[in-house]
Amino acid sequence: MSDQERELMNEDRAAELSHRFLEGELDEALAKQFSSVLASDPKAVSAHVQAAALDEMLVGHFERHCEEAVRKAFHAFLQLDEGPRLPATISLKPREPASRTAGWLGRPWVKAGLAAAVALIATGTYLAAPQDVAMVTRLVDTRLANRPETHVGDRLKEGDRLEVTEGLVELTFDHGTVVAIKGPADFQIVSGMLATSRGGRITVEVGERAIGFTVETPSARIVDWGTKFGVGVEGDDTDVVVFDGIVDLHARSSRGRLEPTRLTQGEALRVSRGGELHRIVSVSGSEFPTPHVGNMAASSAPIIAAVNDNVRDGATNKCYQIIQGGLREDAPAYVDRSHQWNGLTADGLPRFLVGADYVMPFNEDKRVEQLRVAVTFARDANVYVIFDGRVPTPEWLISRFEDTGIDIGLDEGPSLTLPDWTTGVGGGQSIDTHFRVWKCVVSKGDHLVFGPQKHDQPPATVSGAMYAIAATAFDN
Amino acid sequence: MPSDAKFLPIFMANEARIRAFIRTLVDDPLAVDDVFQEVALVLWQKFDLYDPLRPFDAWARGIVAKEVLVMRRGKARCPTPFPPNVVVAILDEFERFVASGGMTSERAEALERCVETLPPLSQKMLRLRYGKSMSVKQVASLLGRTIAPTQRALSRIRQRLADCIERRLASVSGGER
Repeated sequence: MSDQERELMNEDRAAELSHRFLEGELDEALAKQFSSVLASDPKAVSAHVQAAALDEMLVGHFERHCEEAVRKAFHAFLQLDEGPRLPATISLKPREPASRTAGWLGRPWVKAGLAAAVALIATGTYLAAPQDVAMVTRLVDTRLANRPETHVGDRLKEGDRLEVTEGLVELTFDHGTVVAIKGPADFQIVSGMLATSRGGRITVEVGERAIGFTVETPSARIVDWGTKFGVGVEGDDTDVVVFDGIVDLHARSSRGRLEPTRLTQGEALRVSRGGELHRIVSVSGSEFPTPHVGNMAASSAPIIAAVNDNVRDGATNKCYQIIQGGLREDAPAYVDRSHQWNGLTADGLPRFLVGADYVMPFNEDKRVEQLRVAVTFARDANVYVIFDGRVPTPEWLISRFEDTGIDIGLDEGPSLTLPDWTTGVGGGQSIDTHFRVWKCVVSKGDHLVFGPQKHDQPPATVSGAMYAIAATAFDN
Repeated sequence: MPSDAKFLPIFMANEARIRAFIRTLVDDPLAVDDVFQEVALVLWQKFDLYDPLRPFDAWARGIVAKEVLVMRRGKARCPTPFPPNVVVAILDEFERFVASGGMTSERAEALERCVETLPPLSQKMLRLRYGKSMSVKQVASLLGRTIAPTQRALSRIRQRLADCIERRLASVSGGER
């Protein structure tokens, strides 16, 4: 069979799965198969989208006779603000079975939407006084300039402002979103779903039911998708770092327009005056406060001072994270994956690595053949490269580092190609790949340049997983 | 007029583009309506966060994707069989599709003309399937046929319509497409 014939056969199969999906006739096994096809074939995704759109247009075409009824209902709805006509409380859960044949007015959402709107208008909720929306859940060495008598458990209302001169404040919104504010900072709650940050650094961990939670700064608007992200504001600059999930960053241009950019896990951007965007190459884990954790920073001085690479500004939004003193069991390995570092057995990681500073790189950078990563060290240090045992050792590693003969494990979480994988907890659990630890010693102020993961290999060989860089203080 | 009153017209104007996206994710046609109902309320509740400079339907689809994933985690019966990476791939493709003129009023008009060119039996099958919300099995039963040939016939009709729409749009735009 030729490649063209095989491609046609795959297209036919994908189209059939798409049609059966739209008909509701895929069983679990076929649904899984379809999911794999969509994950690996952009053409199949495109065909599926077009098929669904055509189906929906056909529904619209054959249901057009209902439009006039909707129009009438809508006009009635618009006139409701002339005065209350319905009881003040209306149930918002008319969850009867949906039926297309009932037309627009028969659709439960129309009833629910109209009822909800009418209830709001009738009760005047939209004019209500500021509501309690959040609670102070943690204070660590905190001083608040405008509210010196703030305690854990205090309720906060819409409009409340926190001028934090030092320390950490953690708020938990009623819908579950947690905001950690690191002083000095100026933070204000506008509503349960909107806050402003005029200065300082915050980390926002958005609850599952609070999609759309928004942070406004002088130069940007950040809208979350159920995620964890950091926002740093200094003067006209806003830094946004996505630790998990997806956010939409809207940079405010000089004309006041908001230009959206989507940032995903591991990406970061700085918005400057006028809406200019710049890559943030690396952030230190201690720059942003960590929700649920009292410690504001690692106790010892940083060993890894800075990370840079040869990827141009504008070509990527990738941002390395330097985790100070953070290498331990189940430590996150990459900024763009949920993989974890572990010891190979229940004994855990080798003791010399525990508590090391380390860099979370991009696993996708394993494919960048010309990659150069430059790291600057703030102290005399033992530097470790943790390198995938499946991949031939590159010359740059052999020439500068010595093989310790010790392996650690990578416990791989879900990825694009293996979406169902999960991670275990603790050493020796769910290890997927062995990594060899290589070592060298550097002096304070040294720069080391690390080369590409993929090195003179034919494309068919395994690309493995990206290496990691760790460092401990060289005290002897 | 309260700001809430602005929601319904904009939502109705974008209903098809939101519903179609839900259909790409949800494999049970009846559950599509349930998800649509839940999402409509979420959109309405969040409407004050909507930036009018941004297309409403794109904002809404973002929330739909997230809602579906949240439902997927929280319920015994998932509305979508797809993992997050596939949901995001479909969302991104849907945005490309809409940006390139998918589901415009011109396309709907082309569809209307193309349906008129179909043989009466084909039109009848579409009316039963899409206008009366019948399953393929019900359509087959009503027409006194077996399921597989009915399914194949509906597939051919859809393909014929898709080709007709593209031809018609190409001729309207002077062959540019």
